[in-house]
Amino acid sequence: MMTCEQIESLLARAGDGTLDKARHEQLNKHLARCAMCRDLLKCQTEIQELLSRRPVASVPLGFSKRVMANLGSNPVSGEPSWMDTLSWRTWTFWLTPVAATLLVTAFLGLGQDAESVGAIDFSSLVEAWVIVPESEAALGEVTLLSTEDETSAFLLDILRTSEAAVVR
Amino acid sequence: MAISTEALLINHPMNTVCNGGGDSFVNPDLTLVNEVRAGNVEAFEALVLRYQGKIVNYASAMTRNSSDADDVAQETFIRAFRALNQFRGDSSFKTWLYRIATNVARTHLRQRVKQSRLAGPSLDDDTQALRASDIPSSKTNIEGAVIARDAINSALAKLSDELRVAIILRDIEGLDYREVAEATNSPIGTVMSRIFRARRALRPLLQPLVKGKAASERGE
Repeated sequence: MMTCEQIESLLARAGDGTLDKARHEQLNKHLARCAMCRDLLKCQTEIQELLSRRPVASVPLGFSKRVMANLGSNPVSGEPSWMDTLSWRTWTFWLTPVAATLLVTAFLGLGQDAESVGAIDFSSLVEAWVIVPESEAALGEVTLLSTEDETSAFLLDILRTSEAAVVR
Repeated sequence: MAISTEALLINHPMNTVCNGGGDSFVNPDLTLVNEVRAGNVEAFEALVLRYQGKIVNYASAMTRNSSDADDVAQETFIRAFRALNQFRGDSSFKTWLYRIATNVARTHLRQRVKQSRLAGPSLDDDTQALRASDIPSSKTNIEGAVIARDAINSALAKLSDELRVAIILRDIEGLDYREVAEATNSPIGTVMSRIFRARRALRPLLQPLVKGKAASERGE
């Protein structure tokens, strides 16, 4: 004799009238002595009937015309169209390893640069800036030696003169 | 595996269906699919006209909103057109179309949930249970039909996604168990279990409708 758990697998089909004869006889034997399963079958039947009679939603006017208008320039073909190359999945698939490689390279490259280049000494750069005019008429190359202590006014005086000046 | 060009032809054995009596006939859906693949885009409109009622009705039950249903149904056919070369004929065109509609509806519902979370609580949430007094007593009342459909849609929305899809395809759309299994990519036994559980869950939610229907049949 079938149990209630086993009968459950038959109740859905019994509720919509699609259970075959042999299984229906098995079900009836169980239902004859089980009120709970009789109620479950009634539930299955009632809900199935109610849902099958649910009023149908109407198709909006011009539905098919709008579908055809929105198909656009995407003809069905066996070959992928150029639009397929714009698929974000395609791009992600191909660019992920490239991005990963670039990141690793950048990480390794920056690490090397950080080790080999020391801190920039601005005072030494100022000291190295020399203004050397080749003639009285032309400034030419100007060499100016200056320390951190020089004021901007002093530097301006030097720039205003055309003769060579060396300031320390 | 891609379907061969020969298999796309109308007279290919794959396109021929045999009934129990030994007679055979050509599957009309596959005939139209072949025509579309051959470049006759207008043949797709015949497929749209054939299935628009079913897909719109299905989308209505899934989304509870006529505007959303229209969007989902439109998107279903557009996606079907674009993916037509991928249709291999392993399942019927109908179940393949329902599978697309299910995916589109699920995506739409997820987006709607996300938007509603951002927008905050809505005054339009109809979380109240259906009452018998909500249903007009007149048998020929169009308004009553709309209310009944909305009540059923609201009850369906309270089910989990897998139960809702199964019960709508079986009891509302009328697919048999094998077709529901194909459309949902699930074993037939699982489909039967889901339908059993869905009907059991819907009973308390739809009791007023069941009682109202019983009363009207008694002439009350």
